[in-house]
Amino acid sequence: MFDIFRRVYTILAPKKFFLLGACAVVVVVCGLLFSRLIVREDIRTMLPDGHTQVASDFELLSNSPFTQRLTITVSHPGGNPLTAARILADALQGTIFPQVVTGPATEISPVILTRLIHTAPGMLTANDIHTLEQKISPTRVHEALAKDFRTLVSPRGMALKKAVSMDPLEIRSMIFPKLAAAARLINVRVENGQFISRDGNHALVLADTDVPMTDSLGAARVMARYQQAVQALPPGATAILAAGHRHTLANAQTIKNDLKIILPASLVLLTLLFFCFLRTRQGLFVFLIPVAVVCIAGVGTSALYGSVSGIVLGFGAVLLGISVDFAVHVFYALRQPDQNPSQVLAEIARPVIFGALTSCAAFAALLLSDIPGIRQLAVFTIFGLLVSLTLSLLVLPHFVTPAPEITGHRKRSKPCRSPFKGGIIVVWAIILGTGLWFGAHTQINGDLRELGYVPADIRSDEQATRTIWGGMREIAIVFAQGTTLEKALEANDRVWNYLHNTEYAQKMVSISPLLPSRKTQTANIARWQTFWERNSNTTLATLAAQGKTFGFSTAAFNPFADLIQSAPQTMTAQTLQVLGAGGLLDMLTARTAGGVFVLTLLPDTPGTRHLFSPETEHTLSARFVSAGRFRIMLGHAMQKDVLAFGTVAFAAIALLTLILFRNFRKTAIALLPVGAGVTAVLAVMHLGGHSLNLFHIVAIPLVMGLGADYGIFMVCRQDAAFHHGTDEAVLFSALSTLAGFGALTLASHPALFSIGLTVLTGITAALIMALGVIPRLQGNRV
Amino acid sequence: MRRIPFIFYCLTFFCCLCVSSAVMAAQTDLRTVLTDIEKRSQKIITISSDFVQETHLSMFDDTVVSTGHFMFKAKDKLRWEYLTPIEDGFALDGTTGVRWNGTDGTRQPFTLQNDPVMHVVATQLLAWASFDQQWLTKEYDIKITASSPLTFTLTPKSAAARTVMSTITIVFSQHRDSVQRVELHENGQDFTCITFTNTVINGPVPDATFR
Repeated sequence: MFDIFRRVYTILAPKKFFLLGACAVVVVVCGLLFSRLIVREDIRTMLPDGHTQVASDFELLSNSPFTQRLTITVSHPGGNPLTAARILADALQGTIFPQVVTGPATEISPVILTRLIHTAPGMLTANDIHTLEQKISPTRVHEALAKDFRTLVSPRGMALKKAVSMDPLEIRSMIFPKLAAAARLINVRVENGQFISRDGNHALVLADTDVPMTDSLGAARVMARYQQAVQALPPGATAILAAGHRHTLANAQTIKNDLKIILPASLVLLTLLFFCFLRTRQGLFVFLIPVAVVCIAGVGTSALYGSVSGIVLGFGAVLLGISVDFAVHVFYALRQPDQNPSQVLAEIARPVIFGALTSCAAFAALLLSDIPGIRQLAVFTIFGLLVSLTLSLLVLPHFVTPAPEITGHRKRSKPCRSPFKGGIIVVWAIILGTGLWFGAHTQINGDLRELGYVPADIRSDEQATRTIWGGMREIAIVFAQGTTLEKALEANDRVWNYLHNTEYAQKMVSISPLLPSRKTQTANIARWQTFWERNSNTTLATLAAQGKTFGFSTAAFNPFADLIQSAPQTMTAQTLQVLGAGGLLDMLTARTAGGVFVLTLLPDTPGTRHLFSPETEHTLSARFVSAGRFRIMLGHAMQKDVLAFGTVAFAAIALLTLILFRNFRKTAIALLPVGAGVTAVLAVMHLGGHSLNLFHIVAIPLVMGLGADYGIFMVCRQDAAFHHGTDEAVLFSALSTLAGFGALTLASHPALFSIGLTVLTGITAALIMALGVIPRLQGNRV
Repeated sequence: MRRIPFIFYCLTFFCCLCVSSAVMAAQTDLRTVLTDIEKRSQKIITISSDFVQETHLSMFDDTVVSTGHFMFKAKDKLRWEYLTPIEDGFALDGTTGVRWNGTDGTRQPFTLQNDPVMHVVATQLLAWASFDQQWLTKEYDIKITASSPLTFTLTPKSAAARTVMSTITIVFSQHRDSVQRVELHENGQDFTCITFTNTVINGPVPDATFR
């Protein structure tokens, strides 16, 4: 079957410069297209998609009004932080920051109180009416009027006169908690309409932007605008920023800085390898293959998806460094002296193709992932591997000539000590035992924050923000969903009723008590009217009689009589706007293509997470979303992915290897580097106190694919009638991989470091197994 | 077209000059007086005074006369206490305070953050007590309505505030070192008149008074 390569070689040999020209044209065209690719720089591609809970949670979090918000703490020792905050807010306001606030959406003014009393009937629950029933007893009316008298005489009287005449029984005292439930803030007091810290030293500015937090280019624009605005602060004033955009930009910059170290280091190491191992101009063709492969694979992936993720492109390009391996094996085989190139090609094609297939199988397992970026990465890498295979077998051979005898590495096989009996079983038992133990004890970390680099200044600024304002960013959000605002408010009422009797009642922020759904308000109003139909006459008579004791005029409480005898007003979104509290509704609602969401804010604790099971969420038509739960779910999704990748990849590699050798013993030997590589990764993770993250998971198939290649080549070399320089080829392949990926361990960025560490560990173990252990187990060559 | 006589221009110019000079003089005078009062106020560390308050409200059949005691200590301590006919009051120290009800003996702590009405009241009282010219001129249009005794009339600039209170009249003592009377006029016929007596400036006032 592999004889076809000999025939193809013979056919193409006379046209090798045409072939080279055609390849050059394809590569140049792909290079041009590559430079114009639509590259998406959005971390969303690295989160699960489809109908998974993680995906929908992330979607909801992205649409919440808080995600895109910049929290800015303004201090001005010796000056007024409130003034400085206003100056900064004015400087920020504009296209990038359409909404900048320095104070609460509303303040509870006496005027609002009076207006709120008109809408009280719709807000008062059955419990409230029960409380009201107690308020109308003669004794309680007397007490209320005594308090009203004192209020009217006091300096507060002028502000509260209307409220007292309309509400002598203090029904408003039942509305205050409802307003407070919507306007509750953490560790903040309000001074002159602005947020200020408890100690009075810091003012708060909240700036909303439409630029997604995950967009690195957008984050650069946001940060540039912020830095520009900060210049407007008065001398001596300072600002501390806590925002996701700052993380995004810092990460992008860190990766750029890392690459400035990694790329030269890799280049130096690869150059050294070139001079140590290849030392010919023909060897340069080997290095050209990965460059061509990245361009072609990028264009191919983009053609399939319409665009390509920047993350996929970056990591994919790194992963495709392994595509050099096929070229290396072909190069070493063809450089052997006194060989017929077409014959060598036919012989080397078998392990090269199976090596490529096992690598493709390892990466194909990534297609099972729920994470679109990983699936795209798999396609990109498989595409690249197949292109590399084609170039290595069809194009490269025409530009490699056998080396003179003196430079050859030809070593005839010689008898070796007999193979270590039962060695395969012992080695596999050690590998499996160790791998399973470390696998069971290695943690998986789904915290996306751990994948990013957090510089010390951001860390300290976020800590300062937490200290000054409390954990305002550590909140959980309950999204009550509806096709309309009214339906969402109905769901929100259910959420409120559910949480109202829990220990979190006083800690949650909800619009439900202030703006119940129309359905709830109708029920409340009916209850109110029934109550006053029974009690209005006696209550008004009691008020008149008791009022005389304090000198109240007969008309003093006419507004109250009107209130209880006329048709009540309902509270609507428009009413809230008129009351000046529209900002509260804006803050606690989100609209997406999927409908309207009304938000309830809760502390993000294990207790609150426990309250919302899938059944509860279904009953309430609401979703509980929190960063804490999101991390746990993402961890579970990744754990599922790891198991699926590992199992499918290993099964596919094992099957392909078995098909290749049609011999269990040889298959078991060829797979040893795979097992050793993965086990070493797990061991180093556990012993180093690391947990597996997304990038380790992406790098593990690479270790498996390369490990399988080494194993296949080392076993195949035994079958070959002559030596193809396999040992040197495997050594060179592994060292070039280590030079490329090992340099990543110099990175500050956790993602690059993770990949570097995984590959460094895994490939080193696979190499030792391939060159050190497999020959001993085979027992016939060294 | 008839030509306008030159003398008309001269008269118009003269009238404009006179009017603008009068306006400028009045503004200068008000600013001078306010600055003078503010300078005097800056020397005030404490104030202790009795007061008589007459509350004229349509909600009551008769005028309610109450008496009490007022104390201030720069820059943010207040005590406002009624002795008759009720025994109520409040004390404020910074942003926290306590309210008491003499009838049932209860004391209720509060913060200005959580009690917006007290926030308004305290802000007003502190601004008047310390004569915070910047705050007062920001919140009110101020006019001098009499020079002896010095009397200011303050009209709230904010429409929201005007729905509660139409004007405030402040009458100073002959020596302009303390406020003698404050009249708070609401929309309609309701008003409150507070007369201060036995005023002691910078006398000893322990901090415990405000807790």
